[in-house]
Amino acid sequence: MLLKNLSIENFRIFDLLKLQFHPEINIIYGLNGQGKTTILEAIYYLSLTKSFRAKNDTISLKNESEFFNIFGEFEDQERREQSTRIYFSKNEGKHAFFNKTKVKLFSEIIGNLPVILLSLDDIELTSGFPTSRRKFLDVLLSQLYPGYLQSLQRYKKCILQKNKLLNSDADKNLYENLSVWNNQIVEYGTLIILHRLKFVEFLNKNICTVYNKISGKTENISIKYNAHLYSLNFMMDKAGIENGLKECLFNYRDTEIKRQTSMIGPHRDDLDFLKDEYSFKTHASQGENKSFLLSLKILESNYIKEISDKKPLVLLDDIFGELDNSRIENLLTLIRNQGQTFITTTHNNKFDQIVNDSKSLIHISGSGAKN
Amino acid sequence: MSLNIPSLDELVKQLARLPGIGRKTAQRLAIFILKSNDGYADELVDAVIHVKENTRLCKQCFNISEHELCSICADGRRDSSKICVVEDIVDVMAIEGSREYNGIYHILGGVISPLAGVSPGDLKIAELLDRVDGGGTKEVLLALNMSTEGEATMIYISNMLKNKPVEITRIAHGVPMGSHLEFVDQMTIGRAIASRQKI
Repeated sequence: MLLKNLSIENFRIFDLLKLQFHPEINIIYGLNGQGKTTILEAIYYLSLTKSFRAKNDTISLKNESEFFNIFGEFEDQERREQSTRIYFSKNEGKHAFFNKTKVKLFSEIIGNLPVILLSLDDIELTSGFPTSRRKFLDVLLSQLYPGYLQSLQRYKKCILQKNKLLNSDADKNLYENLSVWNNQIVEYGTLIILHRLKFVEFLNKNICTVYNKISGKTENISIKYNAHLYSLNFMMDKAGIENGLKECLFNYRDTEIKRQTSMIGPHRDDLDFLKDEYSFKTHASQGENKSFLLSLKILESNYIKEISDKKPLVLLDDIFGELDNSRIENLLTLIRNQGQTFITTTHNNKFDQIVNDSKSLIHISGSGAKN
Repeated sequence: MSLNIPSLDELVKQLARLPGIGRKTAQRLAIFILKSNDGYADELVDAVIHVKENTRLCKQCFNISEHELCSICADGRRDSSKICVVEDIVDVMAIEGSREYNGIYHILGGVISPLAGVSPGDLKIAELLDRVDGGGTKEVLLALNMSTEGEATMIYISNMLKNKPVEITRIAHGVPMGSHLEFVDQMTIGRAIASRQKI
């Protein structure tokens, strides 16, 4: 994938901004608060129709503006010209356009322009709550499989309905009323779990090679899909997972009723990151954590390539802060082959010596930009 | 823009409550009614009152009717051994429009949704079971929307009917007529393939 240009209107601090991009490395530099990350956010919108940092679209709207508009033209893997536009206004809501035609469902464009993002917040992946690890899986797999996204949306709807039911005054036919949601939770949940397991299997096949290349050590790294309360293994087929979920939902129905919440299913599952059987969270150093995160991101992009034959856009948000020039160079050599790269930084001089002819420098200051 | 004429504002407000009518359309309709002569306003009011006074729900299927039984239930040419279960009256209109269905209906009046405060007891499900228990029904066709709530309701009803001597069917999910496969979403295609038919 090759993002050729981007134009944003009334988005965050920008009135109107038009940018052309280099096919390899784009270094977006400027002082703090000038809108560097906003550019990555706009690219992310084109890919996933939402922000990676704001919970709702109104936050990204420029003060007192009626609407915002994000438009980008890109070349797909067969070098065809495509374009995506995201439009949002408080009155009309959000609309997405692909090749200037409005799409009915956002899921139709998610995955056209795959993206991977590495920011300082990603440290949450190893040290944070399970939510961030599920989000990692869901964002990636939604880009790859439209069916995953649809299953996920319907699954979440069922969980909401079921929780509401569990929360309401106990109905005399609660078991029967629960089963109509559990039935669907099994159907959609199984599809979600199947896709997640396939990706985890891919990670396990490759993580050691990539991690050891980055860290320069020989470690035994593995990733475990942690099914909450029900039993699961890689050998299971669709029917096996379905039965496991069904049985567990049946066994725990009284507990769920007592606790008034849905306890079983992929919305409660987690990933365990292990180094020699010990958790990364508790047993790894800062440096090991960083190497691991980077390995994960590289494998994420490899997986996109393997499944969809597309090279994702790589967004690196301010991650070069404390690194010296030689580490930066190492990192860049690893990352740049993954796809067209967008880097934000306050210090452009760090990149002076590096990758001279295959980059473009974009200076951002407040409301404007220049190449 | 309001002209600060309370009676006009009130009419606009009431019209804007109608489904599919926004504030602008409501204003246009209100102005039209205001300017019309030849007793149009009276006719409109009469029609509204008349429809409320003279219609009720069919005691068998809960369709709209001017009599105890609606015109479909009362029609002897229809196959009363088949009951098609739908969410709402508009669904009856849609199916009738196709002229492909010769059975009778049962209108639930909604779908199960704890979030919206709708439980099975709020729907005409017990009445459906009574109809089936009354005998004469061979097939119950579930034709609800494919939302998670519609699915949940179909699952619920089929569980309730499981041990009764009727055939339970549901409408197929598949590719809409006239559409291209490449533009159909993956879940629809997946289900269409799963429920493929021999030809």
